[in-house]
Amino acid sequence: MDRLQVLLHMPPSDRFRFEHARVAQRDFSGWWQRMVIRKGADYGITVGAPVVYSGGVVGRVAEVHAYTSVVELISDPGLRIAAVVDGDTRPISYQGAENQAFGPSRGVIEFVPLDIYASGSSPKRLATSGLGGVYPPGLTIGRIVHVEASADGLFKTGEVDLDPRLAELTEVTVLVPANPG
Amino acid sequence: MRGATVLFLTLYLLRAMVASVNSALSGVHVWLFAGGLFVAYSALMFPFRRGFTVSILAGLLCDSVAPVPFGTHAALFGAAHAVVFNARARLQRDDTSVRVMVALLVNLALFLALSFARIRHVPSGATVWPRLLSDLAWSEAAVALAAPWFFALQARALELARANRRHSA
Repeated sequence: MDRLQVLLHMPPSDRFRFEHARVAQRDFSGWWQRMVIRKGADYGITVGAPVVYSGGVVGRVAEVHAYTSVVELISDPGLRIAAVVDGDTRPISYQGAENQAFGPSRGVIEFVPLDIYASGSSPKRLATSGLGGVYPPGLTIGRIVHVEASADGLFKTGEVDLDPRLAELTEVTVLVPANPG
Repeated sequence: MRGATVLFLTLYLLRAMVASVNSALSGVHVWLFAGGLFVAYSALMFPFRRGFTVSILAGLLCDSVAPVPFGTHAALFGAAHAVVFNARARLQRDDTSVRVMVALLVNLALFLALSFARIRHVPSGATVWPRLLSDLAWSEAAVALAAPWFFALQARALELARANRRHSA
């Protein structure tokens, strides 16, 4: 179990209870990116709980109903996450971005330190920082494929390619905090 | 009353089918909006009070599954219903092509109204417009294809419920 947690970058099980759930419905519009899972208050799911899969972060629980929950995806333009570049400890800001039809899901990053470089040919892994208090540290968000200096010249901004499997998930795992509050 | 109930049931079926299609299309990032179909038939063929009630209920049904302030769809569907109802005397409303055209125009207006209502909640508002316009184009195509079939379904359902007498205000 410990080895599996390390391989999947999963947080230790004493902080969270893993609740696996099937995806009932996906609702990916230009306005929002959400999915409905078949577990809710009946399994102790809580609002704000992180949701993950084998490829990393899926999103967070936005609504909890009696038997279902609504998950807001990391590709949702309204979702922000505190992140770090793999091998670096300085926090940057990730946000969901436009999801073009027939194209990959994308996110954008801001406040990237000037000495961070990435491109399509040499992408860098973007992971959760653990600073936001929602997501455990080290979970994969996506791959940074482009960075450029921001207008103010103090930081860089960039683009993040998200895993295409995010749009076709059928099962996810909700990390229910073991000691909520 | 029976006619309004049957019409609402067909709209409930439509809502379930649109949700299933959108779920299936999520992998290619295409999302269909069929708001025009929720309003067109009741606004064109029903007396105002009953048709308006059906449109409002359909709007509340859509509100219950969308992350928008509750009542947004209901208010928009109600407004669209009132506009179409006031214009229907000048339309050949028994002609299927006219009904389809009304559904397309209402769908366009509702999609744009929802976009403007929703866009202020999206931090990077301008960047999502290409996707919204793409969704709008696909939605209009889907409504054009599905509308004749759906109007026939609604008419047949009213026939089966013996609630198909001519509804004129």
